[in-house]
Amino acid sequence: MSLPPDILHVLAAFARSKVKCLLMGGQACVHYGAAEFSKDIDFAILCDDANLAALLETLALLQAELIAVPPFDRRHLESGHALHFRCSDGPAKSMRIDLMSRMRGVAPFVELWERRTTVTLPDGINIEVMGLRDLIQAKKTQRDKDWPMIARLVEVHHLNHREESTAAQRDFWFRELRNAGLLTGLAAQYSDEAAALATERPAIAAALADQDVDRALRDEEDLERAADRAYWEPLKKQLEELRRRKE
Amino acid sequence: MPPPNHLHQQWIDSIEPEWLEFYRMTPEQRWERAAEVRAYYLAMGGTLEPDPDPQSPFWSDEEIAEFARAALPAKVKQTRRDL
Repeated sequence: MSLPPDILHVLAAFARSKVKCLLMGGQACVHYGAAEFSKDIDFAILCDDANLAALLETLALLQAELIAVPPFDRRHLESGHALHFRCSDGPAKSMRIDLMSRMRGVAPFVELWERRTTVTLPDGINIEVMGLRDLIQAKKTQRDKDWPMIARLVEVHHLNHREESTAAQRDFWFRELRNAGLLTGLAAQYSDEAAALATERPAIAAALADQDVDRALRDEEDLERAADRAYWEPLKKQLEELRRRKE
Repeated sequence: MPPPNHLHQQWIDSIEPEWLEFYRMTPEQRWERAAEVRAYYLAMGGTLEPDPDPQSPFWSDEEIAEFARAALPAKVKQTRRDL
């Protein structure tokens, strides 16, 4: 497997440093088949003192500089802010690295770690990738661009496992499919499993009742986007205040 | 309710062949393809800077406005020459 040298340099540096982190965002979407490529690298990181010390050493090795507010501070990561870096020189010059530790609706890092996917590069370097279900939770944001990505992430999984699926995989599709036709087809094929989950997801109930599944999916998305906007409201105020202080 | 396989086929038919091929790749093959696409993108003058996203909480209004100004100079200069 050949990766672009700058991406490989960053991933290898993090792997060698033993920083406890999980690849997420666009690069993880490439791994799971929903994105053709991504410009930057996003990590979820464990927020404890030892890990943050290892992280700082790795960022220094990569000549990565903080490029926006908030400043590097454990409290900001714990609050749900992202830290934004750009490698200023070296093999990963210009590569952007974004770090987060807490995300809305996403399990704590220790749980994410248990559900991770490990990719081993030919030279033995292990890249730890956020699990698919957790990546989808992380993508449920207020941004337009994340929703087609979520749809593709589930559809790719469905496409590649539908011939011999497990109950756990079907449970995942019932909960996360965002394509009305595929969800309706799944409900028709596994009507008992669909009925058991219908109270938890109106889109499944709509599929079983031959009602407007697209509408139910749009309502679901609208609720998540509104929840994300509400979640970010106080955080955005903090960012504005930090920007003011920086000026 | 239409038969499940019919709905699945409808979905397959709606996907562009290149994407369907990408979907069916192994993760390793996808990384390889991503490297090729990224190299082509950069060779064509693409940048690693992020696209401004007014919906992202990470971007301030000032940053988006600044990005827009940086993307406009050619047009602005041309207007001034006309004057």
